[in-house]
Amino acid sequence: MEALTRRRFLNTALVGVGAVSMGGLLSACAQPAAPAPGAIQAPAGAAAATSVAPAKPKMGGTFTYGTPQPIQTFDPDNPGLANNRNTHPGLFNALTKFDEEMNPVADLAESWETTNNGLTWTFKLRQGVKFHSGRQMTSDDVKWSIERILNPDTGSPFRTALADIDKIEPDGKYSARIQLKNPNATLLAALYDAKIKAPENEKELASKAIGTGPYKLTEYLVNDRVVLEKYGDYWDKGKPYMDKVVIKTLADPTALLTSFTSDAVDAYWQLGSKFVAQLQNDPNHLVLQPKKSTALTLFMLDAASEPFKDVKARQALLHLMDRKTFLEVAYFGLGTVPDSNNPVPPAHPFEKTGFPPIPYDVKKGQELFSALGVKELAFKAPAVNPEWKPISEVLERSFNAAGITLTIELQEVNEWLKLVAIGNKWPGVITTNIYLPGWDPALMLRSWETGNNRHNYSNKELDDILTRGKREMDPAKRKDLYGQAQDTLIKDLPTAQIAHWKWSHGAHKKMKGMFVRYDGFLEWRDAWIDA
Amino acid sequence: MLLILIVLAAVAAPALAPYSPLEMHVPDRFSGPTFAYLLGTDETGRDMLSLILYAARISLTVSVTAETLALLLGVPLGVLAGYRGGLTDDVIMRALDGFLAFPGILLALTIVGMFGPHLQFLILALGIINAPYVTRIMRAAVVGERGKDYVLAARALGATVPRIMFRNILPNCLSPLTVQASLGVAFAILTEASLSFLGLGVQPPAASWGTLLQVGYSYIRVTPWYVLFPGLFIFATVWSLSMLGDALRDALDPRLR
Repeated sequence: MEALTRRRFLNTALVGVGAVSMGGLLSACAQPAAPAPGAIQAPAGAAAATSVAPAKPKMGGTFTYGTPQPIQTFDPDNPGLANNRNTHPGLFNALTKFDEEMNPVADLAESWETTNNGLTWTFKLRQGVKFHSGRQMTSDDVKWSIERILNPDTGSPFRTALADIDKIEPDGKYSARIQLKNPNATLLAALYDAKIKAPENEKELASKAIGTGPYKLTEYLVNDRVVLEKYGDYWDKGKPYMDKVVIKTLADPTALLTSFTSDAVDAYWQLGSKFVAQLQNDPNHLVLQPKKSTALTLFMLDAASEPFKDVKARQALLHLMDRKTFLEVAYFGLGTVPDSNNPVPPAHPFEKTGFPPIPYDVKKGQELFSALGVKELAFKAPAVNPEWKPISEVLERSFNAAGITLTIELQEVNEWLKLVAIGNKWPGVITTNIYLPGWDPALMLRSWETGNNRHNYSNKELDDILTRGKREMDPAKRKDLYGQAQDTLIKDLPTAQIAHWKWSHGAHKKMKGMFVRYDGFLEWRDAWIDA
Repeated sequence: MLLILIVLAAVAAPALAPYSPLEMHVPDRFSGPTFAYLLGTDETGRDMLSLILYAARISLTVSVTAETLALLLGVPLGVLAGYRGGLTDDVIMRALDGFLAFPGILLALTIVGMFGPHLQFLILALGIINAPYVTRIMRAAVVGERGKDYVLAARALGATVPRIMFRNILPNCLSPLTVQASLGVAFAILTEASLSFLGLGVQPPAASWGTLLQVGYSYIRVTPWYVLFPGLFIFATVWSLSMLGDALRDALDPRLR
């Protein structure tokens, strides 16, 4: 037999690839003609379920939850990347939790009362709650857990939301009293992030956490998986329903999608908009979205540097933003366009309406920039977020039409973080961000407070309104104050909002009892498998 | 012939492309191949054929230049290490071993991260990470040749060391090099795509074959042609370069004359 030479191999490969490609090409040509606008449709109705329909829970089974990033730490006070919080529904409880309507409800606290004009809160704790080590939880643990967050040395991102707490004192073994410096309407919501932990576990909290949650940590392979097993002594008798939860890391999102659709994983965290569209005809897999969401993507502009320290430059940019096309190309239509640039999402109870829209108007944008002498700007965004590429290309098209040069630079994420470090200035640059703030407007609008934002924006009047809003307990007065806050933000236009959208997650239809919280996380604590 | 066609197509892209590569037809995005868009459209409705033709300019420039740089760096080092042997060989090869201990992407990230995501630094980075492979191949080939009679004869005739290395030995060592060069070009195309994913490669709105592959991969379930067509062009280029390498080897190998 003639030896296979390299040349013969190459020629054979050419013929083979040509045949396969021709087959693919003919198959592609045989597809229906160019589809109608919005070809890949967002799933409608049941496919975009906010929660999986309830039924009688079934016991047993292993839930495999796929995420594209590894779990790096279990410390709930310093979670770092958002993905790390995916273990919290299993491992931890707090005094409060959220229901599907985003109302704070009882968790480890059975009940609470407030006295002294809202400055004193007394929480009655559940009895018989045990840590995974077997030790009973008491009010001392509550005190320690919250004080750890309030300690500046911990560096917790939740410290600001709890900053009005003056002190916490045990009031007996199963009661804790929180004394506030000022009344705070967001306390119950903020306490959700104050997970109750065991002081003796502090040194190992990041890698071998114990909590009071329905599942205990039994295995942790860095960059691969976390295994949580049912905790037999869980305080909520009859729960949890599943035997085991495996949080599996699959770094490549497309490979993770394949695992999801082939049922190697039962849920997919943070399903990108392009994948949501690809699941539209899949009968076995659902897309879960929150009923309410504050997720917002936006352009950040340095309010302390040229040219964007001038509100007219910010107006110019808004006129050059073809937001409808951004929503189409980056989010497949999954979201709403904030026509007036209001950061408060539509239909939010505190939303103020009636603001004039800022239309896409290239001529107007050109005139405004021209009057300021702006001829060139830079666009910088982290490359790991895939939406910025098509958004930047659409923006560049508008700038080109306006005769302004826009240089695009998609950066490595650490480079971008350096750019937007608090206090850093970046003249002539448009950059990006994704906000996932709290539902309460005090938490939602913190991102525009002086010292709390990355874009050097400062308005003392707004700061004062937000502080008063946080301390006002009367809902009608709060609504009025947050209306004033929105007036200020619409006048100042410190950031250029792109879209209000909802985080989507994938779940196999056999998964029941899950829902997506307002902050985008999949709440799976009370889930079961209906196989 | 195929390579010539590809290069000509890249050069003549402005004349051949049916649309500007920046022209968006958003309502027609993700279209399959049709008469209006022969190779379909991308996620913003840009014509794939136009994108691929213009991307060819970037991909070919970056990959061929990077591989040329790798050859210019790697060949002399490999020949020197292989011919001299001893301490020279040890120093060069141990230095390269240290270099190769780092993943290539990491080195490329470091270089481009330090100097910025500009094409010239991208080419420099790709050339540097490919050079050690060229050096190793050259060294191995030269070690096999240095003891042969023609080398001894050249020495006996008083030929200088550089002449012996580059005029006598090097032509006999081109065979594995041509194969490595064609693989190096393909590697450069794909490495550039990885760097683009991290924000250190070709920047939008420009596109390379690699970035088209990288973006298209996430849509492979619904628009497989997004990956198929850039992949075909990469395959055709690498195939042509391999055939060219074979032809050059046949032409240049003194043993075949």
